[in-house]
Amino acid sequence: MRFTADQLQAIDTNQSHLDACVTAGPGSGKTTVLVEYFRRLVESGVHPQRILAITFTEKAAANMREKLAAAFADNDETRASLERGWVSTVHGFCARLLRENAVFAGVDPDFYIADERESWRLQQEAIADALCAVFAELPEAVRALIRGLASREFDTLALSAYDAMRGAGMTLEEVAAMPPPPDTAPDELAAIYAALKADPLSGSNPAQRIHVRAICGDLERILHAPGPLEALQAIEAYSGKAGQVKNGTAARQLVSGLKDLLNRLRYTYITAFYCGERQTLLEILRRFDRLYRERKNALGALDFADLEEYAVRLLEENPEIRSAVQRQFDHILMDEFQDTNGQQSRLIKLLRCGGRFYAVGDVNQSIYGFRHAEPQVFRDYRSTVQQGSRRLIDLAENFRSRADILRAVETIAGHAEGVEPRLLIPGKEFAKPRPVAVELMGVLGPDAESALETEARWVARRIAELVSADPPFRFQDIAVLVRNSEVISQFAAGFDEAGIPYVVNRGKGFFEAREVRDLYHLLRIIANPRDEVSLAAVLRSPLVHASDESLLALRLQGNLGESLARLSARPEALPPEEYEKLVRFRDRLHEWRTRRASVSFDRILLEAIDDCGYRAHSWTNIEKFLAQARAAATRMPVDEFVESVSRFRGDDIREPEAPPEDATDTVNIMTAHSAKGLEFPVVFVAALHKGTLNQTPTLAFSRNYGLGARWRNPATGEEKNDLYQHAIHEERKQREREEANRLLYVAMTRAEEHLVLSFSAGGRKPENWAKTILAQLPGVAVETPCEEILTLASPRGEEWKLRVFLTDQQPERLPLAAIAGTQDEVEWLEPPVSSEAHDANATVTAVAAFAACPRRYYLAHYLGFEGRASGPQKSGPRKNETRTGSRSAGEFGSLVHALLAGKPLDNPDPQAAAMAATFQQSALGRRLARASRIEREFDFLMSVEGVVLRGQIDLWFEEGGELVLVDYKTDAVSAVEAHQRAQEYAIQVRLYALAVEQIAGRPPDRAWLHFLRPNVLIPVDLTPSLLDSPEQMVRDLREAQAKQQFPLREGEHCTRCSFFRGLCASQYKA
Amino acid sequence: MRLITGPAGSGKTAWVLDRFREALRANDPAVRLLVPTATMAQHLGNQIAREGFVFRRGLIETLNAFVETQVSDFAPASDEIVYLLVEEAIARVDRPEFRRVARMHGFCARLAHAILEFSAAGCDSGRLAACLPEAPLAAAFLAVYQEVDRALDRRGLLLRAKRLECAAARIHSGGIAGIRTIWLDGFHALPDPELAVIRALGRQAELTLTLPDSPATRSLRAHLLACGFSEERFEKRRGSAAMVLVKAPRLEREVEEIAHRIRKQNAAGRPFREIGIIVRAAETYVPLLRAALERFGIPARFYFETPAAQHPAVRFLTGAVDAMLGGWDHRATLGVLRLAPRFADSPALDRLDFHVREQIPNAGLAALKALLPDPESSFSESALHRFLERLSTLDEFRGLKLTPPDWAARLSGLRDFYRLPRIEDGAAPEAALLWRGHAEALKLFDQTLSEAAMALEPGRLLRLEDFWRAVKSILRLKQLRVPDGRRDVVHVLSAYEARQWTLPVVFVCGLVEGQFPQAPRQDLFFSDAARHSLQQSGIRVRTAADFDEEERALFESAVSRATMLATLSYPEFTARGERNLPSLFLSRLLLAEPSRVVRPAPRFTVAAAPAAAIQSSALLAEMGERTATISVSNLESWLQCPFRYFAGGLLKLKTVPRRPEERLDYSLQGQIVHAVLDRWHKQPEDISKIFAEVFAEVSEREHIPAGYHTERLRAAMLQDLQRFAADTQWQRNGFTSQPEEKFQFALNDSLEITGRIDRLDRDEHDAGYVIDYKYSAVEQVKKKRSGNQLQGPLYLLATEKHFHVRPAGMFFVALKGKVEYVGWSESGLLGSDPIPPEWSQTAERVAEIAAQIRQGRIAPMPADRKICGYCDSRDICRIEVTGAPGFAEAAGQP
Ligand code: SF4
Repeated sequence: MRFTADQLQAIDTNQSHLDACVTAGPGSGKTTVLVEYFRRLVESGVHPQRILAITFTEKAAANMREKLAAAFADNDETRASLERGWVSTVHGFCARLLRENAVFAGVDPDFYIADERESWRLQQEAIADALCAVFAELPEAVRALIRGLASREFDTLALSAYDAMRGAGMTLEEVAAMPPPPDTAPDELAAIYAALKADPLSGSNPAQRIHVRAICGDLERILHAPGPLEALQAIEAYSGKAGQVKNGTAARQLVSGLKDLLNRLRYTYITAFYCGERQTLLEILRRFDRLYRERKNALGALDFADLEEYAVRLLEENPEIRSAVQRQFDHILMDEFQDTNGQQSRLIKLLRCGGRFYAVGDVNQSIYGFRHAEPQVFRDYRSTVQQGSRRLIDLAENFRSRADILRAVETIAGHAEGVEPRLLIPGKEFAKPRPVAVELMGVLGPDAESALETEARWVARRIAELVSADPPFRFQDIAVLVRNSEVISQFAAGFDEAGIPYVVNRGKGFFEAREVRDLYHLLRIIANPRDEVSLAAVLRSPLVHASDESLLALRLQGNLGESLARLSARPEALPPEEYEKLVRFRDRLHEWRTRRASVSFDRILLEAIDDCGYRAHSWTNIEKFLAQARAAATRMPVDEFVESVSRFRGDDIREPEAPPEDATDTVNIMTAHSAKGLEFPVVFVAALHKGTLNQTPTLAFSRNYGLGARWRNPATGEEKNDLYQHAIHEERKQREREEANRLLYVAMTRAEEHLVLSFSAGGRKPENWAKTILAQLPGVAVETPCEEILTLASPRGEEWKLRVFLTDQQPERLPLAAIAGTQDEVEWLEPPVSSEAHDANATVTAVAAFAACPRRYYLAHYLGFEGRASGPQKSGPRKNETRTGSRSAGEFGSLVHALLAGKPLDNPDPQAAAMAATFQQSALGRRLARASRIEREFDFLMSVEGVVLRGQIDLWFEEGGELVLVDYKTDAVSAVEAHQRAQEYAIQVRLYALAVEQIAGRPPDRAWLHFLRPNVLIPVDLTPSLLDSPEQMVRDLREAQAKQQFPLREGEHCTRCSFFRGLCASQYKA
Repeated sequence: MRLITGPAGSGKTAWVLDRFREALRANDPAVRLLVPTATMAQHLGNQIAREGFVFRRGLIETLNAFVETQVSDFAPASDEIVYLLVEEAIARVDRPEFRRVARMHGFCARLAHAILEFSAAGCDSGRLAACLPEAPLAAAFLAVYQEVDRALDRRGLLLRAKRLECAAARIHSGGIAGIRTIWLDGFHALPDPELAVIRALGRQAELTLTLPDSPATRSLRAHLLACGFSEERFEKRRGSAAMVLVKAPRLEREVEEIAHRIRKQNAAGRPFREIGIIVRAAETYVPLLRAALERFGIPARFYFETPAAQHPAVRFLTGAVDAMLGGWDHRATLGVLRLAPRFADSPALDRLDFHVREQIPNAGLAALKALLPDPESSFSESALHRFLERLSTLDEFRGLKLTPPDWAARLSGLRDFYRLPRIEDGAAPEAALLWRGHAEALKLFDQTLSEAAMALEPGRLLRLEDFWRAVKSILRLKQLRVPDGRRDVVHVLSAYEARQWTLPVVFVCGLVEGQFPQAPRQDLFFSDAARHSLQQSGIRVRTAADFDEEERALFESAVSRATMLATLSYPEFTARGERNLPSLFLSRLLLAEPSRVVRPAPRFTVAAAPAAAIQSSALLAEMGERTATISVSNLESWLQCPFRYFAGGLLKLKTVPRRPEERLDYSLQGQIVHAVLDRWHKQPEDISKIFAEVFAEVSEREHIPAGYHTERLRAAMLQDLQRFAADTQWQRNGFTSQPEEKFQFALNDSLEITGRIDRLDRDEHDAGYVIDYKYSAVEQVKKKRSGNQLQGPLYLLATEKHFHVRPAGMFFVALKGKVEYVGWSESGLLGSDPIPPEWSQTAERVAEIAAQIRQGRIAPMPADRKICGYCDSRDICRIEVTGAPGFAEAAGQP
């Protein structure tokens, strides 16, 4: 890689001990320089984790990390350290800092970062509650505020002022304590009054004298008004007219300035008049601040501003941590320094210490004032460096754009207000010359709307020409940048008409995208199908494709949802296919509704999508919505999720659309702001005439002046600023003018090969950027259609060519060659043929339970229910439960088994001991004492028919050449019942016998069930028919599992079953 | 004590299994194969059983289970109990360092986690005190740890590590009857307490331990050798599996690609059970994989847990108690009802839902029951009613004071409220998993109750609120694992779990920076340096370097799990379109294959709906009947857009009731203003007073909440009305006024027109002027003048035909912000326009519109696209408001 001299200076690590300020013009290879500097630092021995590199966007951070990874591709160790390194956005850095020092920072170490949507929701709730609380406490004060404030939409205004305040790094108390901006108006008025009063008015005629006296009277009333209201009324009553004061006199001069002064004085008195309301307003904000913080705390959430605020607080309050963090980094690299806000610059100050700060930026590209960026921070730093280390570097060479484009930028925007005049030196070599690289296109029409429509058509037409030219551009090479997103729809319509593929990049209409709406309405009816609007939307969508006739036919029978649910026979008016669609959907809806709490809703949506092979304009939007649904499903039910989305839609909160698939060959339409940091071969800066409405809101904040408001003048009812607001307004006007020029500068410098500037004028003089541009192109007469190529000179005297095309005609449509199929082809997969869906394992008890009643097996063993979950009983001992003393049957049984297994027990239950003795004293018990081999509590694994069975044989032994198997039962049964039960237990014993056979090498000779309570010993037949064989039982079980069919076996045993009349549908009657 | 080491695929496990088989063949019961996890124990047991062996299950078991038999008399303290004790201890020791974060769940969880880590490393608070390293929070941490140890003592509970130590001591002194040979396989890490057990076992039996080669086991190996193990090395025998790397544009596409490849493997004859997916970033991938595998019909078992608190059964049970404690707030109670499985698709609850929404905020079960129209009207209504009755029994808990065990017993009856519907036969196996999930969740809920009872002081009498707080804290940490016993399933494993597995085909996903390897989580209490110094004191806690090594080992183990094919994958971009950095573990030589776009074939194909129109004669006849009378506003609506009329005017589709703060919307404000003016005209008095009355009535009827917003709108309405009352533009005393009159007249034989006139003013010549109030701003109202007017001419027709007055003018009065009369008149009154001549054709025009409606013309066709922006039907008609492609197709045009 070859570097220019400036670049070499920028990446020189010999000076790395000095603070540096790098001004990096557009296309100057700033990222390359940053990455290279980083790389060289590492090569010079700095550990990668000792460099803090802060970028402005996630994208830039990712880009930088990727480049660094590539730079150290063959050094695994460095790469690994880089991965733990500190290349991130400010927010990323703050989040990490806070997590590592959570205790000192006073934040939940597991905090999560609430995204904009969530913070918005929390803020909305908090402000609503704050307003209600303050209203409940101070109703009169709030009423006064409502009457006084010039806007009644207090909440949105308050929130945006709050946001700005935090961005600037100021607390509410600091803001509340700010005095009004210096106000000399009262003194000036007093001085004028005194001067007029003292003026002898020589040379004036009597009428003039009388008039001046009257003026003095008016002024006196103002100056001596008992309160601000009277003063404001007195100002309105002022009747002086400069024309009635003798010309050329001092008095005349004094009077002629009065109108202006009185207007300023209104600010003064409005401020005084509304000082109580201002306090109410601050109180509401305080309350809001508290509630909002509480809400976040309860959730363990931080918003983006918190990240910065808490990081600053952490470093300010904990000097040891601050110096540890300062010591942690040898170098701090900061990209886009001009875009830092007040809070961020405070943070940077806390991190910096002595000569190792490396800032890169370009004031000319500072366009985020609306996000509270303060380019002054960069300017101040630059002058500090200039006076200090003098390590100032200017990267003026541009490796992006053709020379003519750069000259056009210099000519048009290079000297505009807010743009620092800097050189743009072309540094890139292009393979082929381009005779004309810059165009100006103007459309003249009868009115603004139709002219814009025509402009969009011409832009489309020009794009069609460029992609058909030789050599052609691709659609994806082209970007259309606009200042105001309102016009995007016009261009989109124009492109539709011309068949030009496009995406609205970072468009904000996510929730309005059709696919998102379809899915959203589906969720709404899953929440409640009585919502007819949503149901109709879904029925008409491709998810169902129902006809309007269906809607009508259903609605004629009542509520749409209820009619659909009730639909049992085909209405006469509907054809069979239509009926089928409805029924199918109804059944699916029922399924989804029953599962909605158990599965995350994204999966239900996917089912709906897959049911019909739903096709979407933007699959990424679908994915984005699914991701939101998935995330929400872990925290809230579907009802709440749809409600939150509907709030969003209702309040018209603009959520960005998902980024489109990378592979698609489409024109990008985007706002100039979102084009920052991007470059395209061809750029259209379109709708140049269209500005943005940038009124100062009724409530506004500025770092310099604090909180300002616009009020109703009590004397006139008209709206009037207070002193704060007035100052803020002036400041904003200035900033916006400058920023608009810089935005144009940024937009134009996105172009590599070709730049088209286009505007329309609907019977009016060109406005906004169109005006700025034309002012620099005196040779262009905008009134008359023309097409010509002009040769112009840049301020440095270099020539460049401009094609000027002005028209009042409609373009002819240019047929486009078929658009190459860059969209991915979808492969549709049929479902797999069903596989062996049975379980790998089963217990012997389960197989026996299955043999007795498949349904009971299913509920108790396969699903794991404990009957009572659905039983009708009240809490307390279960109806069907046998108890022995304080123990349940199960506990008691285990105790007896343990005793019989010879386990040592501390205090054996006498009842259990007695029962164990029953066996020990039985004939079998006596044989056992003589046995040559004994296995007790034999828990085994055995594979039968591909299923691994687990079981536990109570006892088997060998005595007198006979193999004997015993199973104890502690069931509370009579002798007669024991014989019935024995049938149920037989299969279990046969399976045990199978296991014994495999171990002992021969089948048991006898098997016994010993019912201990009635002391009945029952032999089990070990040679059953094939149908009853244990193997067959296992096969049946496998099949039942595969088919998920577990029929009921109703009988007397049902009455003993804990699922009876509960989860089981048995209708058994004794 | 023998140590077998070797790389993956060197046959360590195979060797152990061979020895195990030999023992089985020799009928030797004095052997044990001990493994780290229950899944591995089960897996190995099954494998041996399938070979035809029948043997005692306990011969293969986990080390934990083995130890459990030695110390079953010591009650263990679960992690959740420790958490509760930590919460308490933090509050009790009240260290200033922790004050700001003491009540934060994440902080308490971290502290509990750190205590568990220390304890697992064999370091109790006493040992820690003896070698406490320099760290700003060390002393505070120790104080809490000591307090926790004391609390455990008081309750007679032991931490796991302590139990291991006890077990080791018992084995040491009492031996292990009947065991001569022990193999330990599958272990990767052995903290001190485990090692103590193993050493004790080694003294009693012939013991063999296997250990894989990896950077992470290096120090363990050294440690073992120092403890007296003799090493035997195995060399690699199995050839390496083939390896491919796949990149997909995004996460979603990555998992689809995995599903696709699994399907291909399966189609080629590979059973699902021979395939595994290894996941490192579970939170990101598991939900996506669940969805994708299910979509593509791939049976899969996930060896992952989900937070129990998210399960609907748990949400229901906790929600019910919370709702009760909160006085049955209607919104919260509705949320609980929604979770009751029996009412998941209940029309009665759907209806109740709407009623509740119409009147929230509200509280109380009685008020809720009152909203159920008629409990006897249907089965679902009466079921709901009974359910509410049952819920009200919970109120008995209020005010009770019981001991923790008593509360646990009482609350265990709660699960009876969660009644599931009966389960049909023949559902998909996945459905069984859902049911099983319910069963597990209910068990876990009961378990939580008893754990809470264990953690709290047993004899203390508590109110439900206090017991419940503990229950919820525990539930927050509880994880739910739903058992899935199916045999032929793809195994989705964590990288840790996967270390015990080998499978022919393995996928390893999410190989991007930050996910695999993961970044170490910084410890809040002991920095890395402090941890190093602890290590020096012999306390083996993990350092960042250990963590890095473990990540590397996890990766190496993951890719070596496959015996035939390992597929590694990563997404190129994040959801926000930013480029991911491939994991640094990925070999630079491996070239990534791109993924394809796959989707499951649709279950059914649906023909697109026919063009928007009504054609069926039956429906047309019905429409004819319903449009025998049409209102003026419906006619205007049709003119604006036929579909808008269809959805709004004809079908009258309703949506969810508005939220409280939305109730006082434009339409209701308009109604209030109209009502006030009506009364004021009928009985002229102070308009403020009338307004106050009307506003109060409407607020009550419509449940308008008091508050800032209402106040703000109220103030605006009042101001507008006062302004109107004071306005003198219209010389009211020159007219006789007839306010709020409905009308209906026959336009022709088949069409009646209905409407309502706000006010009809007659002058002294009996000429009639129609006044129509619009509660909107002047600019809005002025637009009326230019539009395609029907209201004006029809009102004038009504004046003549219904009121029998000669029509002389029609005025809209804008009331918002400013009073202005906009209209038409013969006399040019108040600057009005002359009555347009084409108004005389109105009857014909209206007849034509009616005919079109009756012919079923309802296709979306807005007269002005701007109205679509705020049309209630815009989501139904499918028109694109932003002008994206396909307007005509979407709108259902032929
Ligand atoms: S959105 Fe537009 S096209 Fe659709 S129904 Fe409403 S008015 Fe008609």
